Amino acid sequence: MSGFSGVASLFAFFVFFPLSVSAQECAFQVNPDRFLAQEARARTAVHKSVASLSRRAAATVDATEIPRRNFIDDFIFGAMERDGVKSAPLSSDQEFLRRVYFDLTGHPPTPAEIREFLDKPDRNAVIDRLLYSRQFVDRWTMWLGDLLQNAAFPANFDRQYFGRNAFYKWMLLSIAGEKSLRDIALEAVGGKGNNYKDETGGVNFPLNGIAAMAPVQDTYDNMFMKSASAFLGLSNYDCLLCHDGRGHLEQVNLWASKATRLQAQRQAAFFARITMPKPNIPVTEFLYNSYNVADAGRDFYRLNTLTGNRPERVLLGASNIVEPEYRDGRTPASGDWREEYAKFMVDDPMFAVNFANRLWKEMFTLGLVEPVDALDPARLDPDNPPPASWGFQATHPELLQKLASELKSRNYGLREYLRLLLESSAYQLSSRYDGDWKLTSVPLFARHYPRRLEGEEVHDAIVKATNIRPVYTLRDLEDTSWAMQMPEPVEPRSNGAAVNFMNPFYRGNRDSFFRVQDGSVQQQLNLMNDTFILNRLRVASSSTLREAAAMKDADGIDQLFLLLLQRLPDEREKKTSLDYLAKAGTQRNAYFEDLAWSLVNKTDFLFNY
Amino acid sequence: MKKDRFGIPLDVNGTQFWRRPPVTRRVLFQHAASAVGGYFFLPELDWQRRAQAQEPPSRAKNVIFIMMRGGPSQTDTFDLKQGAWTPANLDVQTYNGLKFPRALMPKLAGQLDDIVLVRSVRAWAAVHGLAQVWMQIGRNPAAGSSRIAPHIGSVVSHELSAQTKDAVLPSFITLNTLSGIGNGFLPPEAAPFFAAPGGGGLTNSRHNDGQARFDRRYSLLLEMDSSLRATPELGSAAFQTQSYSNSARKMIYNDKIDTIFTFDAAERARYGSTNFGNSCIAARNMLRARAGARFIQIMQPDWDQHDNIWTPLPSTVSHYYRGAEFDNGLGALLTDLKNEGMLDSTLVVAMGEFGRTIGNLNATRGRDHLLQQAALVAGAGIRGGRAIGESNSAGSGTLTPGWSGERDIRAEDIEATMYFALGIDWNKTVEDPTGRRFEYVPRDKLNYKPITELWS
Repeated sequence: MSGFSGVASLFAFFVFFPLSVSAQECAFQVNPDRFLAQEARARTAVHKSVASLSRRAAATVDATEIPRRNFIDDFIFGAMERDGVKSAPLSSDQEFLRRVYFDLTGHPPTPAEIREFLDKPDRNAVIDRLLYSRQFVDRWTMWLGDLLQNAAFPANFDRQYFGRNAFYKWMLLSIAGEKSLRDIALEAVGGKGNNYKDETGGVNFPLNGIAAMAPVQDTYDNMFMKSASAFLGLSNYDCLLCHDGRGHLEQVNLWASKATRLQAQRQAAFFARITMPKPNIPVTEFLYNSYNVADAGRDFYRLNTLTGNRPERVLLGASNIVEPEYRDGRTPASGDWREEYAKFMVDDPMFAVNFANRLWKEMFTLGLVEPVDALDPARLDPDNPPPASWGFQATHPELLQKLASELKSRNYGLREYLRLLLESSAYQLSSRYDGDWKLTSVPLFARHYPRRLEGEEVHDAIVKATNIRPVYTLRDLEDTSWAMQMPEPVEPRSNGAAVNFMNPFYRGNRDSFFRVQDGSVQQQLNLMNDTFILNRLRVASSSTLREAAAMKDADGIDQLFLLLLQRLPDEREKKTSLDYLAKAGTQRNAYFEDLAWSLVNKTDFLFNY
Repeated sequence: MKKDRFGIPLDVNGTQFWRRPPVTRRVLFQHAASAVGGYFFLPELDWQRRAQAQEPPSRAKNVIFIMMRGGPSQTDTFDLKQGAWTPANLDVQTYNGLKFPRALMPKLAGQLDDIVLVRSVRAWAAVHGLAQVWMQIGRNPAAGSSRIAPHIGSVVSHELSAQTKDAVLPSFITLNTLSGIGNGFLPPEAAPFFAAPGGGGLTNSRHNDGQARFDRRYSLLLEMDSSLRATPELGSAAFQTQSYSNSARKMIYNDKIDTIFTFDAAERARYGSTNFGNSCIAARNMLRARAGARFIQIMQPDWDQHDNIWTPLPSTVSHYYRGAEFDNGLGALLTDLKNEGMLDSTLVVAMGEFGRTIGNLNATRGRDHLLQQAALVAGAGIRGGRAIGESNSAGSGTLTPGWSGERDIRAEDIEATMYFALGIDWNKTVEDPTGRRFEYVPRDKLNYKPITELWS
């Protein structure tokens, strides 16, 4: 669910930086949105002081003045102190509430919820309530679906709606049932069973590795690579599955520069016993076209290919068999190789680091390490620093290490780990920064970094604010009104208008193009003119707008701001709105709708800041 | 200071985003100079030197790429092989030595003088999704940095950005679909603008509540949002949003946009009254209006016909139907481009992601996937009325490549041809955000290159 915009300047940043990398057929399938996020965000935050112009100038404060609520704050504000960088102040209650609602649930708060909170601003209580809400489950199922690439019709094989739904429900139930990230990983990577069945829906994950029209080793490589990328943040294995790190990755990744292709293949070898037959049953049966994922094979990963998506695999020594061996030297104790691999994987220290960092990024918009899927194990351990010429990969190595161990000690629980992040003052800083903001301040997290809302969030925010609910039908799933409840971002296929409204927000298809948070002209056209918006901003049809329009001007304006921007207007906005309504004459409802339209098209509507 | 072999200091390793890249202007130009210098000493790159040394024969300013999605049967269309399987009513005629199914594509049959049929094309994969992406990014989607690779149109857009920055339309347009491959790692300005024209104007370029209401609302918005629009208070991403907003505003109630996307039933009928035909009209209108569009991709569904390809019209799932749709749209487009003097400046390429099985039809009277395929090329001053390359008698493989590559023509060569036609340096290499080399046209032992024979 992360990514960012502003790639324009990023490109200029990098153009013509020559590097000694052979590009020939190298299979470095980086995760683009997550990588781009890093650079773009750096750019995003670059700006000059806005003190004199800022509407709600937020005076910066000494880092020592920010209350330290947990160890995160010690590291974050300690670093600011050391570098002599001032911190943004804590966010206002309004800012905090909107932020935490979107971040945890993908939905904005309602006016009643905002008022109640402003009356009794107990931040920890809100965090607790949202962590255990239904909307939390939907938003994080979407996140997990992006991470595990759940799509009904990827290019290389057909999962079909049945497989997609089973995968989706498995994720939904995992998040709802507080399954640990560790168990999710064990089931997704090492699981066995039928991919159409909800309880074994996790076996859909390795299927993503199926390489069409290629030697079976390509499939093993993909399965390993996709698991290493999602669960360990080690996507550089994609390079290593083609060639040794030496001569290729010296400037990219210290650990990978010393790893070899054979080491990578030894890990891919854990997948060599996977079998995925389709049941031999009549076409009328539900499970026809499903996959029975098991480890019934008895063959090995062999070095005997001349074709495919990776360079030739040729005999080394006497045997072409590659024995499975995990990157820490462990070898399978049983014949259940994939299951053994999954166990090794979740015990790998990089597993906790990976999720500690990915989830940090979800909350802070910028990872402690970027890109989140190209971690460098040789540059992350604070007790074992890399050579001086490299430097640590993380902006705060000790913090990341401590977060990883906290995640582990919280039994890899998604909610409790997020609670830790959210309760920190670091998360609760204002995104406005009244002071000299420099590029070098970016890694200090001295302010909160805004992110563009996802297409689903924009859709659901409009539906929620106007209380005009669409009904979308989904193949073999319950009808829903909420985009965040879609099993994959190309839905709802049954409603082209809704898809066309959300597509320009770049939800991706989880297969050939991926979620990014770029802006686009079409987004703006849609926000200004799409009937999805216009038909909802009508006093006659929207109960919430009607209610607001019936109030006295000043109250109605407040209510409208709460509905659509989740904050009260500032003085100038209030005056502009009052002046506008004063001109309405007999057309008050129409003018009220105009006001609503202008709020939806305001810049801050589109951002979680 | 220790330096690597490109003269880049080794004291800063890895990518730490807040650091500047460890390359100075001096190092950059040193490297650029030595790279270019070294290049010409490599004997196997002789053809490249020759290609670079001569004036490009193409004067193209635009590319129209028609993606015949699903894969048409080459042996029933652009590489016709007559046999027991050929329906009698295809009216196969020979033009200038080229066999062509006149009944299937009568308008194009009359324009073969302007058309080259390329018959030595071969896809890399007979899997729809994979091969479709392959064609559009000009490289293996499963390899390289392909996951962040931009669409060919985005590269074009990026290259031409200086020329098109004030235009009302983005330079890369994808028609007849509303989602697809995008700008990859290139800036969002290089992203495709998706539209599915129907003749009733551009979607959301008008305000359902009326222009007066829109104007009123828009002035209110500017006033309401003035402080956020004046300052990067929320950071530059938010600040940047206003440029998208301004571009969108330019398209709303814009005469040029209306002219491009509004056309009547008579016009639609001349182009076949199909979504594809409508997109062809919009493509012509964009070029006519000089609206900034330079790379226009038009999606044509759906040639993936495994069953009953010769079911007579009005069936909409036969090659008769697809052929008519294609012929009516492209035939009229070529005619109009030519009459208005725009064909010479526009390279038109039409092809599927792969071809189909040859000889007798399969058990369900259709054809299945096959790597061997064929392409139709027109415009950009190419010498038409002929074929390039020759397939074997069955149509299953290439007999004579017919071009200096001396091998099958691949998606990468088509990509190089498009860049070449537009005068873009197809040999160019840039840095992608992962710090890896991104070659506009991937380099490997097959030495992909433009089909310059089109012009000779």
